[in-house]
Amino acid sequence: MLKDKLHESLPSSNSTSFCKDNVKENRKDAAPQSVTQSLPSEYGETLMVVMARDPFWMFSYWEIANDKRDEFKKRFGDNVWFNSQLTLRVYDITDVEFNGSNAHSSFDVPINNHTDNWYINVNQANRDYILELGIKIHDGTFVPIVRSNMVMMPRYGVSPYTDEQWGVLEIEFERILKLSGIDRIGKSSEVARGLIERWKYLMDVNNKSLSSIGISSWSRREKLEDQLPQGPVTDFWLIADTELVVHGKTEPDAEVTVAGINVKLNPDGTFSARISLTEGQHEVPVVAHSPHKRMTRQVVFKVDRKTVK
Amino acid sequence: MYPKGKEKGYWCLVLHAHLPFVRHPEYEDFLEEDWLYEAITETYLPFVDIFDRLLEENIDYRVTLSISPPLMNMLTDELLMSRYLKKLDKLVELTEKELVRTKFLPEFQDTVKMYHENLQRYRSIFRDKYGCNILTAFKKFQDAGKIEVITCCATHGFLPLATQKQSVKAQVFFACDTYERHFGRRPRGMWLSECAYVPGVDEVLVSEGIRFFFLEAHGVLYATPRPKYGVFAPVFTPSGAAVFARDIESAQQVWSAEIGYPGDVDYREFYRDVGYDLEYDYIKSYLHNDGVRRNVGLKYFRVSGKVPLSKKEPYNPAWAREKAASHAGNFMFNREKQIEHLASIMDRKPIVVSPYDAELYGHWWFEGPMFLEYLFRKMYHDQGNVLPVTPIEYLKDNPANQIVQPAASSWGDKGYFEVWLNGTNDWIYRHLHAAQRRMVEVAELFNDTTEHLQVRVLNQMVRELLLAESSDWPFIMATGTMVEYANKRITDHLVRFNELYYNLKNDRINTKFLEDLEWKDNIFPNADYKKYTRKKV
Repeated sequence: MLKDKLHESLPSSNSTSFCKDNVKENRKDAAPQSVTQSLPSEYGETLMVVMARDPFWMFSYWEIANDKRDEFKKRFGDNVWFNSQLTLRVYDITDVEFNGSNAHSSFDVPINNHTDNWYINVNQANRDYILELGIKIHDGTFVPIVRSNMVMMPRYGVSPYTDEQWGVLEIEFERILKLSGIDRIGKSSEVARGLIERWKYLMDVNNKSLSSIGISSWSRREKLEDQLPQGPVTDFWLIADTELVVHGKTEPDAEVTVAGINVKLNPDGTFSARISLTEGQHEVPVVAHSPHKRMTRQVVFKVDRKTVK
Repeated sequence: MYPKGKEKGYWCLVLHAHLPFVRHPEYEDFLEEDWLYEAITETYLPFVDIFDRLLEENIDYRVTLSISPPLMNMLTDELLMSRYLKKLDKLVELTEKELVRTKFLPEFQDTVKMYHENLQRYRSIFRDKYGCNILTAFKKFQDAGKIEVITCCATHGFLPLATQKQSVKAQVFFACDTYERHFGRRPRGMWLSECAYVPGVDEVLVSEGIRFFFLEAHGVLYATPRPKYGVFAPVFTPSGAAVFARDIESAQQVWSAEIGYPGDVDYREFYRDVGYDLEYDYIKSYLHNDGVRRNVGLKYFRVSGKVPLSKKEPYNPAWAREKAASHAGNFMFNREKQIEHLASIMDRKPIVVSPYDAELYGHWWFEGPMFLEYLFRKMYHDQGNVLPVTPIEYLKDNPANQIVQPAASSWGDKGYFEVWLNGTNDWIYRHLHAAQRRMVEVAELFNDTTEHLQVRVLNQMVRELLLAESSDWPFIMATGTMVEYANKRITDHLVRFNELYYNLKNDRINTKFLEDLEWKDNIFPNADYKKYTRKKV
């Protein structure tokens, strides 16, 4: 019986192994990728989980398994899942062992029947909660389907309690709190954003450009195609040009001209010059004079530019 | 020289080094592995370089360095390290070509020379001095008493959002186990992933022998009862672990985009990279196989101010170095003033705790490691009020601390769990929790199995579950960059987990599938499914 059930929920084996041709050759015998590439939409269990997001918000998700749905159909009729209002009941169970009826208070959140998760806001800080998911039937009665775990919301604000051994004057404590940065808590701090920025920097390293959404090795093929021009190309064109770079080295205190133009030397006597190179024959003399022109050295480059289109 | 006992207070620098486990043996060339390679070149090796130099010159320093287990696994992985060495060789080769190309471009010469010298030095540190295993370097600094290496949750799992206690325990257990394999003793401290804490986590830490951890400021400020010294003294949890809270003032000096040091005009501009700037044919062989232009790691321009990338001015290594030295002086001055002031209003010596992401230094802020080196030199030579310490040293001198219950918190945006639980990523928890329940279920069910193949499947399920639990995936989803990769990773690990689960329960183990996963997802060689049983962990 159990085995049959498991067979039903076994992942299908129509595999789509990604980028197969990119897989390394030396593992020919490996990788039977007989795995479905997606996660199940449900796990066949009726359950509800609640988690704290911050002191005032919690998140809950749930699953109602088929047997539970059938049970409710039997109890309340075939249309129960259409006719009744799905409802979250939020119990404040701070400091009590919850037995279903001893909560300090509770409130209901009506939700739409097509969702399987919800964010819930609470107004009071520093409380503990348990949720129930249920339906409200025609006469308004709440019929629970499933109960959640207990969630303790994160403490908010400075504790009113002081311990004797570590007692402190209010005014001194306030000073320490201020120096500890109490005013900056909870504000979307630059520090936290810095963390996110750091990741973005890391990620960007792999981006083809700074603004694009990241591409990964897994997706590079498609993304490269994205880079190709879209639509018919009408006006194709090309422009190209060339120039001449002359470089060399001489005594640091020499004077150098390239094609008659004075060139500034680096402290170690190196120099370089860029010269535009028009069509035809050119002679580029490089001349170095020692101080007071006592000595002269010359190198001449003969260059012929011929552009063919 | 620190006149011990004369100090007015303490400063504790904490660097948290972490990258998600990214290792794709099935590809010859994989982009996301660059995260690791870049961090090694720009952060981890520069750290080794400065720690070694300070050690040799007898300049006392203290750093508490958290190295996450995925990072430990990657830094000792043969495949990744041999790929890294090849990358580094290529980069050194590029700087050699660049020396020739820029021979007559004086504005870039010093920068190119700097890269060439640095990279050659880093290569010799990595390959020759430490035999391609950086962890042995950090072990050496730890054994010398200069740094305290701690670790982080097994795969940087976000503990407050796990529903099974066994999963929290496993995140802590496999972290300590990994640490012990590489450092020869149990870790004494832990960096909780994203400083994310809920009451109860501390008990798990204590049960593994952890003596201290860190929280965001309000984790301690909102504690019950109120903490007498705010963030300037540690507190003990009811279970007995010491908690050090983050100081916001020193954090902002380095972190802040507006007032922080890294944005200085003389510092290196991250985005202007030769991978984009140089002629395509010339740079092509240094890009990835797909030939798309990306950063290669050589950057020749400085921040220059708020100008477009094309208007950036050439980097000047001497100016940047001078700036790093002056910022180090400024940071030290501010700590001295801060500690003097605190000491005047407190009836004990204050401690200022400054935790940062390690990769901030070097990778993001290129001059960061240099800044730290100057800082430790200056602190050692030029003052005596502030004593750099590790948490253990502090606790030894100050064993009596207030006992409080810290508040649930994280160091993420808004201070709680929203970055890891919002509309972009909340869908993952249904699946993660199901896998966590299934792991406990099969750990119980096969607790007594002696069949080797079943044990292998169970242990591989542990690896897949842990990899899926990494807080990096929901974080990446929340940032909106590279979401595709994060989605795929978490889905892949959970799908693999589920397949193994059905294989096991239906008694149809697919050996080839198992072998393939053992080859790909080889993190935690000591993975042991029995840690998930209810009875004992």
